[in-house]
Amino acid sequence: MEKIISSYECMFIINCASGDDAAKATVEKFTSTITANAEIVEVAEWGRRRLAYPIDDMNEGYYIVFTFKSEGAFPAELQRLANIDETVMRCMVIRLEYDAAEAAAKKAAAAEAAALAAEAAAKAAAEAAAAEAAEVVAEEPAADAE
Amino acid sequence: MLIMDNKVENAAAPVARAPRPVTRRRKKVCVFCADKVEFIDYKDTAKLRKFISERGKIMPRRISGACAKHQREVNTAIKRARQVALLPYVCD
Repeated sequence: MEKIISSYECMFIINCASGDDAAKATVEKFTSTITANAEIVEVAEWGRRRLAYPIDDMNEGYYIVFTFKSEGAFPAELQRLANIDETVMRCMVIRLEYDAAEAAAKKAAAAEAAALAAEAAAKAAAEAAAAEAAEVVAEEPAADAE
Repeated sequence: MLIMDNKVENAAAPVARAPRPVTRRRKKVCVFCADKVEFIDYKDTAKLRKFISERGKIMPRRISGACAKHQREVNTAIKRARQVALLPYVCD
């Protein structure tokens, strides 16, 4: 039977009481676990962030969001591993209704288009400025002649 | 005589009352339908904050104006955001 691959998103909140470096070590550990079992699409490291309510008497946590594609059994396993790890304060894995890879590609394309548009706008502005400068230069000799 | 006068007044009152002005409430349009949102992201707390009250409760549909489908999705998104401490369960 063909294995069904779906898109998932997993958010970790890691205890950062013992410094960001300790949190990064945990991130590293889970990154390698996910890479071994799934295809990572996107990793968003939010870093240290204030929590909306205290968890384990902590007011801050180190956030990281993984987007990956894998088989159905892996998310449950990931959740189990996260529950065992003591530095992980929260872990939530959700299944995405859309294809993560496609969405990421679309997002990248949109960002690229925006960058291109910004570049074009900057170029146009520069050209306009140059034209204006040229006009000023052209006007000046005329004034001299008078 | 006095009592009778009162009766007459009472009877006349409903007739004398001006017809209630027609206040037709503007139909709210679901913001997600208007923007053609495909997926309501639980990470987008700025947007979700508009759908919770000051106490952190989820706004009902009659106030939020969302259509049934999107209200369901908003509910899920808010509950997910609460799980990962992006939104509060309660705030007082």
